[in-house]
Amino acid sequence: MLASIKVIQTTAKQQLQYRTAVFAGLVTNIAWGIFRYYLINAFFSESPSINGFTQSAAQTYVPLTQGLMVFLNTFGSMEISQAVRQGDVAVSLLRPMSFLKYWMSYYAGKSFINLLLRSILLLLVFHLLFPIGTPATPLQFFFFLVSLTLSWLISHLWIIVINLSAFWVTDATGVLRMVFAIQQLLTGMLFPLRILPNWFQEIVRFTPFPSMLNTPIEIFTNIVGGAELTFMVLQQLVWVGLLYVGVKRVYRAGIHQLEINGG
Amino acid sequence: MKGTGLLNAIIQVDNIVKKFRGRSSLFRKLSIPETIAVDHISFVVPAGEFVGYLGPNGAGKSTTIKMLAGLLVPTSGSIHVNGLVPWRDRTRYVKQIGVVFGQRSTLWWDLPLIDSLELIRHMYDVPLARYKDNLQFFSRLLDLDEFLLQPVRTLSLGQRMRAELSAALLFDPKILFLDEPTIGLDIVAKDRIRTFLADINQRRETTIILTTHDLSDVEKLCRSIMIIDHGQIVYGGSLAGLAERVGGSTTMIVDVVEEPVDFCFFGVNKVTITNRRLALEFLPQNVNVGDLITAISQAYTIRDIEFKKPSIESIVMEIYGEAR
Repeated sequence: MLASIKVIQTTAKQQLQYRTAVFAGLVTNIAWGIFRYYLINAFFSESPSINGFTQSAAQTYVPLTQGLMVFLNTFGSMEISQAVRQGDVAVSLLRPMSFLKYWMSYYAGKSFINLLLRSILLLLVFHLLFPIGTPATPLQFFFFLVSLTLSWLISHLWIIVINLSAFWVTDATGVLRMVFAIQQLLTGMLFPLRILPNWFQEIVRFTPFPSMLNTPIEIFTNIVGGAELTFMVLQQLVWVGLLYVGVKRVYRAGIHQLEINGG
Repeated sequence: MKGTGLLNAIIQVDNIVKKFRGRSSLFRKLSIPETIAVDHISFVVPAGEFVGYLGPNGAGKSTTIKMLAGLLVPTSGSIHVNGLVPWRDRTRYVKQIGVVFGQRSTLWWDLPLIDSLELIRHMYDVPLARYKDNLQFFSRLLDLDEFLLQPVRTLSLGQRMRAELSAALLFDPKILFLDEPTIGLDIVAKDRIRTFLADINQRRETTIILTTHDLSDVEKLCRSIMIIDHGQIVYGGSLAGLAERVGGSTTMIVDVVEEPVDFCFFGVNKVTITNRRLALEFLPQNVNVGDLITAISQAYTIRDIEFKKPSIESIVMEIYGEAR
């Protein structure tokens, strides 16, 4: 436990070394956010509600997704697959700390700094420029925080599990790029999932992707509540469990193959 | 290495084989045949030993080290290090070994060195007092203070290697595996690292296994050596024994005042006479050099004597050649 906290601390400290990059990222995020804001506004100007998703929810949806995407790592990360490819995974095998614990702590440190310096700052800037809605009740806000935490876990467990494909594919970059691109649509980063065709929503519902971003957004914008909210959060919990087992299994298989065939 | 009592053996390797699976393909050109990287190797390393592990590129050196570190599992045979099977109980095992790969880094590139060391302290549960002692000790021997607060990416190669060694030894491992630690270093940096390693080996009785292509590392540091070629151990023993094994003969060159006609001495295998100079080749174990000089001085007036011993390079080259 203590070691995990130290990894989180160290990664956070490292992330702070890249202040210029963090600042540049923030500026880019804000610029794109403003662009997306006007785009979605134009989209809703004809009808104030599509499939139960209102224009005011859409106006909150943009800064929220824009702010949380670095925290949740919606665009993915290729660090682990590179470590596997370059053989640096040997270094992690020589550490007396589990692979999963190490990388989750690593991402936690990074996300913590990104939350402070990018997510929160971006939301503040948007708050000054445009009206942003808030959860209807403190309980709703509490559920948002719970759901957001689960989203963080699901998103990062997913990143780890697909990065592990590098154990079998010589250069996993292509695979990862494709997955991360498709993910933009399926998580609700590109459009709110609700405004997409029903048949599409029905399919996506059975994947972990909405649980990575769409769920906490719908809670924050008061689109879901009651039984539906509870069901969605439970679904997130199930995905955390499944992905946790999945990562462990895939990692073990990858290491087994490394032990037998070398790096 | 051989014949050492098994009681204090820290590393015990029995008959290990490591095969790498080939790949068969419909297209012949794409098929890769199965390779045997390590072919029935056995050895024992007593605690506190400093072993040099040599071999040409592709001989199976790295494969052996990786198996000892638990990164590879042998196809057959067994390895016990300090009573543990390296790849089975990995988390417990890695706390007892320090590993430095000359070409890889365990340090955080963009952070001051001290941050990496602090993290290691937490990962390995090193008590604070012990950590401070060690840090002080390394600072004295390796001048870590100079660059402890500098980001690792700004360190010179020599400084980085000193940092890597400190990181690998911070938690007092019983065994240290070094894979070409002096690669690319200048003479001063090399010498400093050698002095440090000798010190660690003596004072802390850390068992050290060193692979290198730099034979002067071996000459200065290792009490015993192992040479591997084509997956098999072709020599295991002391450095002195190596010369004997190859039949490395000494050449004594004697300059004399007179023009020598002929010279014979029991045990001297070859005598070459050129222009008032005698070159005598013999095996050091067969000839008493004192008697030999006396014999020459009775026949001629000696002006100068010079000995030429076979260099370790030439001996090792010969061993590599033999196995081919």
